[in-house]
This record gives sequence, structure tokens and C-alpha cells, in this order.
Amino acid sequence: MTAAESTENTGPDAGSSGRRQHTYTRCWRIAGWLVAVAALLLVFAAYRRPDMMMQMAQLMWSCF
Amino acid sequence: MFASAIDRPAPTTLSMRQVLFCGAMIVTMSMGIRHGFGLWLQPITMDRGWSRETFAFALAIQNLAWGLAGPFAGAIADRFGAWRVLLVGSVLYGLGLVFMGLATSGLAFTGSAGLMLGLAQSGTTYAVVYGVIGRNVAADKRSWAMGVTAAAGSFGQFLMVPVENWLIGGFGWQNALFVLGCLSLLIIPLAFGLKEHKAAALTGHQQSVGEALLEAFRYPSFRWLMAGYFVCGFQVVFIGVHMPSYLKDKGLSPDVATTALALIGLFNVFGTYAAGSLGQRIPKKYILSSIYLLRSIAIVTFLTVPLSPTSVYVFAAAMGILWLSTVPPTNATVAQIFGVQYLSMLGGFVFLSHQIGSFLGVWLGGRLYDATGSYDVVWWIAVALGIFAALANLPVREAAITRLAPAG
Repeated sequence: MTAAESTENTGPDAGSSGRRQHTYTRCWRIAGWLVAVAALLLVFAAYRRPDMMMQMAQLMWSCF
Repeated sequence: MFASAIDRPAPTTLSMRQVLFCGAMIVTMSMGIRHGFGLWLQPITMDRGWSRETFAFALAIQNLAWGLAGPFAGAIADRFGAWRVLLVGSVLYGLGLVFMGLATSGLAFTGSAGLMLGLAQSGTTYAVVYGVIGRNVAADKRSWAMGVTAAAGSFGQFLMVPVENWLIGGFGWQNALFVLGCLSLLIIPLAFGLKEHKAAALTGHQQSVGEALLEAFRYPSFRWLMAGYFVCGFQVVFIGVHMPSYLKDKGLSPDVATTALALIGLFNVFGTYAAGSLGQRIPKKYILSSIYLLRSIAIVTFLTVPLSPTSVYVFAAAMGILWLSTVPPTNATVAQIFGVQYLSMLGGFVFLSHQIGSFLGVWLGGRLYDATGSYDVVWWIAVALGIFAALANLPVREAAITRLAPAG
């Protein structure tokens, strides 16, 4: 645990600050997942390009 | 308050974000680059006038060298620091790729594409990186962190096949290898991000390498984990290498095989991450047992339903989820039982058994196909081995091993 994490905020706006922090963290997490899924779908789309598929199928098929 | 801030000792462990970023990037590159080597078979054999056997032999040597050197690379990483092993591995990777492009004889090709790249992979893949994760990430997040890194490796495999295909098409096969050689050198700066403080690597009672090995090999759970990983290697490599050929025999178009391999790659990313995350919540031996059992069920279903592009895609997606998902729970279990001092070395031994299984999966696949005229026997061997591995993981004891305090 870092020093920042261990510091307790006991002031009057402790609750709202905590909620803000939680929302901030959740937003980053959702953004991270969206970027990851978008990256995966982009790569998958590359596999589905007709010219790419033709060349890859030809190269892979040559192994067998 | 000021005194405590000033006197606070320098952190002895690396930050989790740093370890995850550097580890994930390294494994993305090292696993990704090697995954598309099959694409070079046609251009290299045609240009050099070699047989396919020359190319296949070099890749077989690469896989064996990767497995055999793994425990040594792991032991050196545990003893002298993973970053040093990563540096050497990165340089070997770059040189191996360049020499692979320049080799004009079968021997030179085997030495570069086979031996050098095999050694490079042993120094830049999971076992070495997992040692750093084990020592720097808290136990309650370790399995998840290993899942993130394994998912990055899976993403690398998924990403690099079309990238390498594009490089070969755009620059020619030889220049494509030189570009990848330069790319592999990016591991060097990332390795410095995994440079551990001595205190992090060496705390508590220090076992010797011999003591750690004796302890692990005498412990039944370690042997069960190795047996399970053997099966993992057998199934994954048999399917990866022989499935296109199987589909061709059944009259399906090359596009179906290519799409199936893409689906395996896509779902593999989710599967490895999910297995690592689940490892924080439920006993890892049940995760491993379920993975092996589900693989057998998936294969039996695939063999019994009428073969069509749809059945192939569903099978590919299911196998993708189960593909490398054994990696995080297996390594996290080793860390949980034996601690993290020799995690890379012990992970290297477990991976050696994986590679022996891989070798047998490829070899038996071809051998039994030649002998019987079909892949049926090997498919059923894969099913039986899956059931065996599912049972073998059940007696694994995940609790930390109890050690007697050293005398004196």
C-alpha cells in the first residue's frame, strides 16, 4: 500500500471525494476494456480482409 | 510524521504497473514474433531450394531448445536477475532473426532459426517474466497479474500473424525478418523496467538450487502439474499444426482453417485473462481440471457432430478460450506451493514437460496419420490425455510447502 492510499480523508467531504475517486477509477477501467476489445476486433478485421486471407491461406496451406 | 517520511526505506519491490507493463510488452513481442514463423515456410524453401523437412527440422529444434534451455534460463534469472537474461535473450532473438534471413545452408538455418531463436525464447518468455511478477506482485493479485501477462502473450500471437504476413507481402521475406530482428531489440529497454532490487529477490531463508529442485521433484503436486502441462502441450500443438490438414482432408476450404486459427487467437486472449482472474477466487487445481475436461468434451463434440464451417468455428472459439488458459493457474500454483525464489527455474521445468508434449503432439500426429491414413487415433489420444490431466490436477495441494528450519 502506498502512502497516498494509506492516508485517510476524515474531513466533511470525505464521502464525496471517495465517490469521485471510485467513479474516476471505474471510468478508467471501462475505457481500458473498451480499448482492449476495440483492438482485438481491429486485429480480427485484419484477418478477414480478402487479400490478407488469400495470402495467408496460401502461405499456411503450403505447410500441408 | 516527517521522520517517518524521510526514514522510509527505498521500496524493495517494483510497482505492479511497471512490472505488468514491461512484462506484458516483452511477452507480446517474444510470443508474437515466433507465432507466425509458419508463414516463412513457402518463401524460404522456394528461394533457397530447400525441402520442407529442412525448415520443419529447424523449428522442431527451436521448440526443443526453448524447452531444454528454459530451466537454465530460469535458474540464471532467479540467481542473477531476470533483466540480464532478458537482455541476452533479446540480443539472441535479434541476431537469430537476422541470421535466419541470411542463412544459405540447412545447417546455418538450423543454428539460427532453430538453436538461437529457441535459446532466445527461453530467455524472453513466460518463465523468466513470471519470476519477476511472483517476486513483485502481492500473492492476492499474482494469479490475476499472470493472467494479464499471458493474455498479452496471446494478443501478441493474434496480432503478429497478420503483421508478419503484411511484412512478407510488402518488403519480402528476408527484409521482414530483419524488421522483426530490430523489433525484438525493443525488449532491451523493457528489460530494465524489470530490474529488481536485490532485497526483493533475496529475502528469508535461501535455498540452494539443488535443494529447490529436490524439494520440487519429490513433491507429488509438482509432478502432477508437470503431467497436466505435458497434456496441454500435446493438445494445443497437435491442433494448431494438424487441424488445417485435417480440415483439408475433410474437404473444407483453406479460408475455414485460416478463420479457425484467427478465432482461436481471438478467444485465447479472453481465456487466458479469465483463467488468471478466476485463480484469485477459486482453487487453481479446479480451474486446471475443468480446462482439461472441457477440452476433451470440446474435441469429442467436434468429432461427433457433422463437420461444417460452423462446427469448425464453434470448436475454434471453444478451444481458443481453453488454449493458453492453463499458463496462469499452473505458474501461480507453483509460486503458491514453493514460493518465488526459484519460480522461473521451476516454471522452466514445468514448461519443459509442456514442450515434450508439444513435440509428441506434432510428431505422433504425423506418424499415426501416415500409419493409419487419418487423424482419428490422435484425436482420441488427445481426448484420453485430457481426461487424465483433469484427474491428475485434482490431488494437487496448493498450500505452501512446509520447510524445516535449517540447523544451526
